Amino acid sequence: MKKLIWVKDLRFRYPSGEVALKGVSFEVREGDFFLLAGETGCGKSTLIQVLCGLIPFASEGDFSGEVEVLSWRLPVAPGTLFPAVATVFQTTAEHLVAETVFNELAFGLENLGLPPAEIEKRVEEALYEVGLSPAFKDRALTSLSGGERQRVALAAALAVRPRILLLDEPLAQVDPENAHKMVKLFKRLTRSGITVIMAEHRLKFVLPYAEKILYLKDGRPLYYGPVKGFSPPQRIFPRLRPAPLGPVILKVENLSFSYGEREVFSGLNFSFRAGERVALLGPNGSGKTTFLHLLAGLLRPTTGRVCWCRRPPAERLPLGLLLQDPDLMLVRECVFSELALAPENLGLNKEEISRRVREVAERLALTRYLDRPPFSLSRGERLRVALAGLLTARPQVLLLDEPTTAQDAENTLKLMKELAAELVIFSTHDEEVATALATRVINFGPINQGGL
Amino acid sequence: MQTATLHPYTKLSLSIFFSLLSVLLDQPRSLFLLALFSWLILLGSRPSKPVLKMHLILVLTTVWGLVVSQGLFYRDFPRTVLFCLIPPGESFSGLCLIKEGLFYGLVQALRLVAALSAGLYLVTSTPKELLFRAVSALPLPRGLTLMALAAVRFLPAVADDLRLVRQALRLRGYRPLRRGLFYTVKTELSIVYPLLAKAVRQARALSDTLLTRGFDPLLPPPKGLLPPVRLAEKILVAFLLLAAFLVLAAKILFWLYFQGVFYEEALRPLYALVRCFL
Repeated sequence: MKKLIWVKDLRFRYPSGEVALKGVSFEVREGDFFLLAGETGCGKSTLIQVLCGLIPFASEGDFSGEVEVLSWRLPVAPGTLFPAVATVFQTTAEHLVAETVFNELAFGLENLGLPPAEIEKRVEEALYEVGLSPAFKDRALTSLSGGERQRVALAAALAVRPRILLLDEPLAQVDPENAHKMVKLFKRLTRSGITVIMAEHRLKFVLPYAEKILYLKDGRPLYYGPVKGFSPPQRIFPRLRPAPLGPVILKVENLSFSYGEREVFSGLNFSFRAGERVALLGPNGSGKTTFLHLLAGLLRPTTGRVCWCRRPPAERLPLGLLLQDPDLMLVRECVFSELALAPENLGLNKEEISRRVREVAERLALTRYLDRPPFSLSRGERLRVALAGLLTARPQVLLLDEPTTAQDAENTLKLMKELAAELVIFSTHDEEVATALATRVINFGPINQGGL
Repeated sequence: MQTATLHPYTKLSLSIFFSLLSVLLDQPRSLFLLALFSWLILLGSRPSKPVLKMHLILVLTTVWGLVVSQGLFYRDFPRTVLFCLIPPGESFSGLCLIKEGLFYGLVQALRLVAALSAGLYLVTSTPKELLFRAVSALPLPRGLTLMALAAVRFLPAVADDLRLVRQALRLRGYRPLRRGLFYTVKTELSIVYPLLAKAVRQARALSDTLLTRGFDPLLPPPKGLLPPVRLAEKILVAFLLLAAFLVLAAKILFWLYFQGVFYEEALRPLYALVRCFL
């Protein structure tokens, strides 16, 4: 098989000083299903950006080593590699450019200058390829679930008939059943001659189908070779010791919610007790975030109610909500004042505020960042700052929307250990995280319908 | 008459036609007819109740604001005082409602109502996607149209984010004015940090997408992705453009005559037409 990609001793350091890749070498042959694996932050996304030409062409930083993609020696403009190389990025929602499915798929084809009839034909073929009906053509992208958007992004990449397909965590927003279907689709694509390079950390879905793997740890290759000789490192989640159960803090009675005519859920009844750590498990669009927002009072239920049975003393907040996008919670100019915001609002004195800030910063390993602006930190660190900003108010109930995003197993465990609240309710896609860290799992979607 | 199904370019032409005439015409009766037609075209697109409500609110506030402000602060002559809210004194000319001012305000309001109804008709009766596609296909560099459309599309997202940031602050115990004005102003201003950070992130993501999907800002607009314009609509658009051009030409000729620059005996009927109707 012909060699399509050749990488030798690739190193890359971001302008912030973070070294993302440290001496990576590999090659990919035509028709390969090539897996880039490793925990969050190991350099997978950076490597994808190198292979599509964004690094070093459109990115500052120190780049060294040799990279050849389809006989082009980097640096070359990403436009030069298009349409032979097509990329599906990790944060699909942010990378979509059009308003409807049709226009999203047509965008790349228009850039190729194809006639309208050819564009129509290719759009329909690509939709069929990813298992979406032609009726999807006119759907607004905003009306799609995370998984559907992922498929649209994939269809847009396939519509230009690439030779190499780069996929950055394409399974991040899909449930296990659809994850299996998508991986099978990628395998089918390789049989039709497309080379698939996929960055993914949910290995159990991909390993049965991939041929070669490059496993990275902290930017360094830990394993490179055929999948057959690879044994994935265990994700160790020692079970957290459950706290003794206390009185009921929060009750949900006959709760229903609809967005317009679309019912998200109905007739939910739950009681949550002090000492519980509850996981809301389900794929995107299953209603986890809506449920958390209802508990926090950000949304009003269509029917039913949320009852708070006990209120905490005045020097504590009744609840803290970590948003799915924690960046939206960072409003101060430095980490210290970010952490001080909630205690200030509680009217605490300066000494108490300072004591709480330092204590929480110590617990979440943020002490050395106290003088830094929050937005100068990495994604995982920003999430910890947002969380710390809640913990300084010592909330009675903590609601966390996808707290494990951008955290590897080790950090997730550390984070959950440090959560000091009487009741913690968190949402996640990750079944392993849910079973290991929660004392109770509430299933919102098709994940493990048998129950936990 | 069902006007919602017209081609986006026909709608755009109608909208431009009404906006142009609202500037060119001066006679109250003509302006009234123009506003009425524009409103009927909006109604012909069968707008939803919220759109009608919004239109009504906009029209009423526009008419009220212009009529009252012109009625009170009209400075031209002749002036007929209807009544005084504050009678004139030795050092104060008074605050009185002027008949000619009310009339002048009404004329200005008619201009705005005509343009407003036409604009609302275009925006509310055209599916957003079709409108975007129509704008994208205008003979302008794609770099301009795509960026303008992306900016418009992100506005609702920014509004959602703003709501979420405020809700998150509230959950962290923040209440406006509880800890003093300075603290409140500082906190309110700080809301811009997360919004800006997200905007930068999204701009970066968009630029990565454009770079990797072969986008060239200097490319000509894509063609053929819009439904064809029907012949009847083409004729209508040609007629509208011709009518607008004729009105413009008549007004210019009248203005030249009025300023003593150019006079032609044979054009007297035209001068009369402009004076009485346009």
